Amino acid sequence: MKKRIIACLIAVFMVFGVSLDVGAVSITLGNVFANAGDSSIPSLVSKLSPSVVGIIGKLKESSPDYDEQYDNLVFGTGVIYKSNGYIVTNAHVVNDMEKIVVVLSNGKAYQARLKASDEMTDLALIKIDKGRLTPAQFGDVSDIIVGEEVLAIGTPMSFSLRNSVTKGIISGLNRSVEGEYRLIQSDAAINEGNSGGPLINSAGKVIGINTIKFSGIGVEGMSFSIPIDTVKYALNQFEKYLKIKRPYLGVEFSEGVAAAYGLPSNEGLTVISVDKQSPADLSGILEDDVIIEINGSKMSTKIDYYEKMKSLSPGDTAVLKIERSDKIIFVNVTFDEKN
Amino acid sequence: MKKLFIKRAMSGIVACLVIFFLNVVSYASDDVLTMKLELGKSIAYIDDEAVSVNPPFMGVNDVYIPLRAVLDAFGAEVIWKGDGKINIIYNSININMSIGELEYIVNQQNKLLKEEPQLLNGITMIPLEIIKDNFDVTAAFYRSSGKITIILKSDGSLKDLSFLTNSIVKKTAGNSYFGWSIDIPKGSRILTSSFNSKLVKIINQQRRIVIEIKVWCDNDISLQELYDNVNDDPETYLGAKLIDSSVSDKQDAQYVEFLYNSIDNQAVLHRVYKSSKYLYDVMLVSLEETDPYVLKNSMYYRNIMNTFSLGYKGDLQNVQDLSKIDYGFVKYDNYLTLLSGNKYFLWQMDVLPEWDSLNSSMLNNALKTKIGLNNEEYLIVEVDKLDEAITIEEFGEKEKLFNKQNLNVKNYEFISDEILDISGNKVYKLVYWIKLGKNTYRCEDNYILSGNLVYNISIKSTNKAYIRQKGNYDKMIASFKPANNEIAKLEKDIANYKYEQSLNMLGKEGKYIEYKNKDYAWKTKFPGTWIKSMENSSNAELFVDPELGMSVFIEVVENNSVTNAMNDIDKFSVMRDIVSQNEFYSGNINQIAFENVKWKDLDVLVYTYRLEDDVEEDYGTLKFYIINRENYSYCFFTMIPDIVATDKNIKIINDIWEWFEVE
Repeated sequence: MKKRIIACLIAVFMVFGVSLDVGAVSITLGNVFANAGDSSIPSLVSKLSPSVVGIIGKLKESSPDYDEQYDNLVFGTGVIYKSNGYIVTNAHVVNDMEKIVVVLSNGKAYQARLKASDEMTDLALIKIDKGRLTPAQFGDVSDIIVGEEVLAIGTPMSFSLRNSVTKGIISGLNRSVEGEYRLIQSDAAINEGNSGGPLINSAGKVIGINTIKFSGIGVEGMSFSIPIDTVKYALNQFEKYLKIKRPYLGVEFSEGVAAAYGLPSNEGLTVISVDKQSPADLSGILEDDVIIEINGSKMSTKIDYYEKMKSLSPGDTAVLKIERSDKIIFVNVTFDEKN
Repeated sequence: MKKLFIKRAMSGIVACLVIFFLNVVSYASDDVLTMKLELGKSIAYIDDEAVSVNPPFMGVNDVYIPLRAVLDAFGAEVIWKGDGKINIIYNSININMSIGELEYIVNQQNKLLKEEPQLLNGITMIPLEIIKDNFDVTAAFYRSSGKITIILKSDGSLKDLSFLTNSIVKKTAGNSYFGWSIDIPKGSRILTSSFNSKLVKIINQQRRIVIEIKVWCDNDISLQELYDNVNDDPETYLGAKLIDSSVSDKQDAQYVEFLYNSIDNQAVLHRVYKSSKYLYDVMLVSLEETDPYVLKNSMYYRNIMNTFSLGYKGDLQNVQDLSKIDYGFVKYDNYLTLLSGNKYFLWQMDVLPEWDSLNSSMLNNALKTKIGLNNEEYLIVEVDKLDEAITIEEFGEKEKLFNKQNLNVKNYEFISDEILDISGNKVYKLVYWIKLGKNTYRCEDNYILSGNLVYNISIKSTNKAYIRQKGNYDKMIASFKPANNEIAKLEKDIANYKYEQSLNMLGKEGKYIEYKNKDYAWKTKFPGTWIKSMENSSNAELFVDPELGMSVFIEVVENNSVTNAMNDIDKFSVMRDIVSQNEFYSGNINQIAFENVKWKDLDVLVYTYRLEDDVEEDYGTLKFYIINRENYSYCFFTMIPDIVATDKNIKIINDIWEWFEVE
């Protein structure tokens, strides 16, 4: 008798222990499987679904893509990362939107506000006034392992048949042709519809935000996602300052030729020009100086530079190891704020 | 035993599932959020889920609840502004309050609390009143039990997304400002709507029709006159061959009707209505019918047209109001696209709904926008990039000096200038009279400095019109918002555009430049800022001061038996076009002087004319200097508009003539 009662109680607990903040029955049933530890793709998708939103908006008239003849609707995906309605997505998805509408997995739509956006990282923060949402679980940069299987999740809503779940593996932590930050390269297909959505690993953790902005046009099997450490950096800055406060050095530099090809190199970053009265100028950095290290981190590519800048803020001081006319010198620089 | 166990367990599970489903059904509605708190208790229940909170406590007049816990559950945005100031945003509600203060602001309205927000151990506690009064909730505090219940009744989810798809969701569409309404078939959406909603095009793909309504503000013409005009010259008015026309016999809904095919051969049923203020073009275009009679005779199409009526004021529930007018004004957004192809938002201003953009090819400056009703009622907004940092006071002085040096005292009189603060913009307002012919205009330049850009909102109107519109003009200027995004890129593009324009300059600002015509061996000097016309040929060259409008035209004609026999006025095309054929300027051109003078040992004939055009308000002095040499004859033409005929500018033209040399 006791055993039966216990069995019933366990059954009750299993069922009621499930989060009740979404209405769709099928999704909550799916949650049961997820909690039971099943990492099958359907279960991962349904686990993440409540945290994945569709974003739809009308293009601003000032957008270069605006065409009077057409409906000018733009679509994308976003990830709820705080239960009181904070959503991360791509900057390029929402920047040109006049009005932003967020559609939850339960089909309900809410007007959103753009709180902050940054073109360089292609990340943006939007807010809907809706509480008790299910935030997605963020992973760590250590969760990004080359070869690991990943899913790129678009919204459950079908906007013009665009959105989907696609699967791939992490091909590498490379950069794209134009970006300034490290990107996850995978072969999980990313399109305009699931851009801004999560890249999740087999543990159901978000390890990246997908972006179509950097993907090569017409190149198959090469999709890019913004790694979770850059996402966390950007969101942190957005919450504090409503923008990313990048440290300003005041130099224009070029990478070595080998670095541009992605080959191993010791070439450093060559200073092409120094802005007058900039921190670099005031610290005595000259044209043709080669920046080899910043605070001990090797500088070979511009990605190295921008990734390093993530750990620094305006007002911080750093030690630059510089090669000048075959001599090595160390220069202390105090960064300013980039306008 | 085992079987019984499984059976019982199964029934237990089924029972649980049934209860589960029931609960799911009752929670399926996200519109309601229920929070249950209790005085002194650190556990609250949100939709029956236990959460830990700062315990509510009893104040003097009201019960205090934890701000963060409640508003996070709602999903409101809470911004801590420092110094105890808190901003709460929840959909259309915007609250600004401070710890320890009874006064707070909701949507810019001042309100008073009975008890002030408090900070307790770092947690902000607010009186229940703030939630009760400003949110869509049912909130109750039961003193006897100390229990507090807050039920959020709606979460602001959008019921109607038609604003995204531009769909017409109601049976009738109308415009409450311009006063019209028409029944719209289901499944229609707005194809285009001008910024002032004067022009609206609605498409219904299923029925393959487009309904277009265009409002005209100059309605001096009667419907009968219009009918006659269109019948006389349909090509000009409709751009098509007229198939049929008629006048309605209805007393209450007067209209004239035209049937024709559009340029794409689509059938068009076109009616024109008239109210006391406006004329209305109402067009029904079929995307598949080519026979306009079908539109006229078929009940379906006629029924749509027959539902068009005037007089809608925005007071009806089942009418979707397409008017974009707010309190008598409509927002005009000006975008700029320059050489780079980038499109920038340049400025926004409230304007009168009847106004439209009046830009024409004459005003082919991308940085200048003319917006208004007609040539009597308009203003111009011009943007320029400053070459160097300057204060608004310094800028104002420069403008005043420019006017003094370049505007003729007979036509220009300074009235006043002042620096004002208008809606956070520092404005230099320069007011002056401009006399053109018999008319005197009150002109006003409002310069606004923003970053490295300067905007000028300039108004020119008769004094009477100004007095009538003053309130409106002031409101428009107060609503002006300059560009605030991508400023660096925008400034760079404008600088590039100006540089491109300057490449047309003959030389550099501030310096004179020698110009030689090699084919006909003449030369002279021009101020560096003058430009040469693109259409010049070597025997006929036009030079213009783009800022002041003065011009010099030099024409050379070969001497032969034919030309030798001609009068000057026929020999030189410039004289022919301007004087005898009146092709270049409209208005009256009258000769006022003729002289035979000696100039650099040459005989020169000087013809002087006056241009008086009351329609275009062009007034000026034209001079033709004729020099006859052995092989060629030269005509040196100058034009100085009256308004810039100051001593300084007259001297500039005279100098160009003095430096003129022929072989």
